[in-house]
Amino acid sequence: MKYPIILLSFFVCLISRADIFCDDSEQSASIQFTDTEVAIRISKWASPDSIAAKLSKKPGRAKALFTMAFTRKTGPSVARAREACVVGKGNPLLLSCQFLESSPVKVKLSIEGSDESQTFDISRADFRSAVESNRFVGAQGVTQEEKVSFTGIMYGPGLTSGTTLSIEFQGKDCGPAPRIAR
Amino acid sequence: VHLLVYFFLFVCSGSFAAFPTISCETDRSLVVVEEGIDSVFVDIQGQALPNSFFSKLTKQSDSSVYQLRMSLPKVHAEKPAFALSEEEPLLFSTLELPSGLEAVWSLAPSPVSQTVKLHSFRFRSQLSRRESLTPQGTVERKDLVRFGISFAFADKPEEVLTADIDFSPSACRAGERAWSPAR
Repeated sequence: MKYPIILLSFFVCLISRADIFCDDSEQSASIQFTDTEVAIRISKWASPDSIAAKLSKKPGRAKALFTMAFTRKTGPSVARAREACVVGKGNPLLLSCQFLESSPVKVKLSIEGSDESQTFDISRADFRSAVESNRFVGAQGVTQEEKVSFTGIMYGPGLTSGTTLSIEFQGKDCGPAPRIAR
Repeated sequence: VHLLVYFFLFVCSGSFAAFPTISCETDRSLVVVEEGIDSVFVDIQGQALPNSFFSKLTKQSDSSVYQLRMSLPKVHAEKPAFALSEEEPLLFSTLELPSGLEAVWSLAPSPVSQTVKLHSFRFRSQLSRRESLTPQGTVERKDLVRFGISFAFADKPEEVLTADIDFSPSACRAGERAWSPAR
């Protein structure tokens, strides 16, 4: 009787759930919770005049990959990074995180398909999602669509003010996705 | 006698036919969409703040109030060019519009106007509900009526410009206007 429980515990430990995962084949975002960190990975087309567009030395559109792992929020009430986030009870795509690190974490920006990359020291970040439900009329009558957007505002010693990172998806491209724990 | 009464009612109902109107208004912006017999009349007013619809249309950037007037055909190439929702009276959308429509804009109110030729014009309304979480976990809801406009100038057809004009639902009305031959 002991062995199936041990085996089950092993699989529960091995497999963790990415709480939010969006992918529309052009851009993607994942927010993965573990006991020790909240890992955020965003791959998006760089906006004109953005840091990523300047970092990419090739003309034309550049695709930027942002990776970051927030580890801990300081303060008396929150000991672990995942506790810095609240998730919507009725809608698991709703998320609000306030990270305050005791020492800055590294946020890496890489240009996909090139060796160009840059890291930023971030000591504080606010990361939120929003879900928008839109109704509009077309030739076939009224249609409803859902959009999910993520906005991160990051602060760090090398940044003069909050740097914003945002990305938007159709609701159908988002959901919880099982992933193998690192 | 019955036939005469029916004929009279038929003629009267034709004379006082009602046409849908959609209007949203604040102290700084206005959108009015009025359906006529074979055209849809559009009246938009607002400031030319950076990245706004009027800054893109007029190529100005200031806090003056500008006005745009357009007349859009309801039918193009024997197909409907305009859709209006019966279930949601604030919802409308242009469909396939002809190329080369003229947009007339001016400083509001001013008799001096400028006419620009457009390669394309798309105009629609949508009802949006945006939900987000506060750091305390409370769901914040914001409802709005959004007018989405995309257009390209005839001399730069490849450059499609887009802009939204947002209103709170309380600033909007959908009603009916009796048709008058003077319009």
